[in-house]
Amino acid sequence: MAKRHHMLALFNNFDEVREAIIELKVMDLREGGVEEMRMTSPIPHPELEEVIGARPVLVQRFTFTGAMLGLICGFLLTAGLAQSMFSVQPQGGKAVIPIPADLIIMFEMTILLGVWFTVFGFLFGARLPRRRSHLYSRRVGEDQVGLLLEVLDSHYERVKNLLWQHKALEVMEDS
Amino acid sequence: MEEEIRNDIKWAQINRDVLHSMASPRRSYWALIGLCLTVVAIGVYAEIHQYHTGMGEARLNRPQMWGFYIANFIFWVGVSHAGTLLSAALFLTNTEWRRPVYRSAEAMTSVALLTAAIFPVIHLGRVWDFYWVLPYPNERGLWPNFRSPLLWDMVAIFTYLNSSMLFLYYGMIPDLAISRDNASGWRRRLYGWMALGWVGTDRQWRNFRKGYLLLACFLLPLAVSVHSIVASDFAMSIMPGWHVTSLPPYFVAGALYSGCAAIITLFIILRYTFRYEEYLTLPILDKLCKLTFAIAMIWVYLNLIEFSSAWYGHDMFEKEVLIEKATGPYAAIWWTMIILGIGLPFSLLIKWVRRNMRVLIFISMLINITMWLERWMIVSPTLARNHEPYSWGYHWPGWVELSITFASFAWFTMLFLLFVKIFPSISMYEVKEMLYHRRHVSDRLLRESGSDRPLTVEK
Repeated sequence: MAKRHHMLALFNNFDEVREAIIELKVMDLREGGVEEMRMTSPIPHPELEEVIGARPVLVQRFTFTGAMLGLICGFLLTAGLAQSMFSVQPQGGKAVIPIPADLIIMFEMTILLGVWFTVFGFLFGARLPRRRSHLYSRRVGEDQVGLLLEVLDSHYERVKNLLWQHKALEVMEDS
Repeated sequence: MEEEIRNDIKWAQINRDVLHSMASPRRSYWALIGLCLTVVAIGVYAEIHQYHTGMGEARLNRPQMWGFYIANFIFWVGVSHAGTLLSAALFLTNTEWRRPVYRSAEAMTSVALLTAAIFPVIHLGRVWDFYWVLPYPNERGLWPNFRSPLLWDMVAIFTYLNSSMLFLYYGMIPDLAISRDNASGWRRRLYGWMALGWVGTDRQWRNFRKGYLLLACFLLPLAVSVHSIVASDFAMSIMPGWHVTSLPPYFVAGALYSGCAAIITLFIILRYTFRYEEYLTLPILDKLCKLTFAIAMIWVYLNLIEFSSAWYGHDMFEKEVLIEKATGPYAAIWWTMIILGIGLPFSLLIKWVRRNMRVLIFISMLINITMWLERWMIVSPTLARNHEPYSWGYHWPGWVELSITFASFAWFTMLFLLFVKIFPSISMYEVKEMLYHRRHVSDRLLRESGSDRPLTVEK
């Protein structure tokens, strides 16, 4: 298996990162060598995410599953308990399962599980929680933009030079 | 007049300013915490006294079984309303000025809900039997009645508390990572644990954005439903003055009104305590005041609707309660509430008032006192003049109820003070994002106009 290098290049702004990403993409298309490319930034930048190559976000599927599960659980909770208490609960001619009243509980449960599943979906999609990699700089949380790369040994020097050419402030490596 | 947040403020400076507010507190901060603790302790003593001697000590007796406790409950649920609702609504409408304010508003929501949740328990009297309301099969011959608004209430408040706290925490994750990187000791461990290893990769941001949008979509209808359900506690009964179709929207409007006023109060306190003049700017306060005025007008309108339907509805019991409010023993309180509730928001139309902090904090606190009185005037006059004349009776609070009420304000203040000292009270990444987009737009405009001026690339 070919040796790989993990690098984090820090840049002063998004424009410089964009230029570097485009050039790395072109290089990778021609001859490969860049195994993985990710950006870390203090704020979200949807346009640059597109340039890197947006991976699909699946959070909404979790949300939908949670909401549907909540709706069903809400119904089962109210209807199930009403049924189980049927022998002791005097209904006085009213419906055993009062749908209009139960709709309120179902609505709240839909939201409750929908919210929880959305958070789970985010954690799943963002691969969190996780231990921080050694390739991290607190300046990314401040004002610098980072480019995380995994490159093959054969392309290591070229990629490094390319990063410096694009005004990288610092290039950190994971030994 | 002070301008919007400066475009040239450095991003690192934003971090420093917000993190500085979480550093060692001043002596005045501890003095305030101490004062709050003392008042809370008096409230706890009053509550213990109530356990031993019974609910009569709180002057709760037929027909006045709800009194201050339920008035407090509605008030605090109402205060909680504005934070999350405004945060979610302004996020969905892409309102830029929301960014520096929403964190403290959301914190206010969670803290107010934690305060509100105490009151139904205190109101029960036998607090140790609280678990009886939980819906699970049991052998006590008790079962949850899903037709009861009281059970809807419990489910709604539980959902709202859960969702609001998750929404608050979720939005804080990137800032917790910044705090982690700049802290030491127990703070570093706490933030490190709470930040979940966030490093701000494109994958994390993409999922974060989508999740935040979905949460906001849930929170908006949830917040409206919660106060509608609280209103249903009243509206589903056949009591005169409560059995009104417009009560749920009236509650929602009243909640937003008091919540907005509370946000103004906290805005001013935070601005001065933490020297946030750079971020919590006067134009934002100006917009908050205008929003409060608009919401207050909805509340005024719904009040008029309620009065006119009671007056022209020809329900004699309904009319009797209205006349009783205006002329009976509660008249002074009711008229104070009406005059201040309707009159105070008009002062927000005056530019000078919107820019004068001292006047504004006074007005916002007065609005909240007014809205508290409004809650009391919803509860007690109806119970005083119900359908059965043999059980008519008025409620005036004793020291137990008063102590617990003041303790709730101290509890709320204490929790909020603790929050803003432990967690970032201004969203650092959102302020940066706002400035970035603003610069982006101004740079593009400059480029299009062919100006020679160098493009702004400050960070």
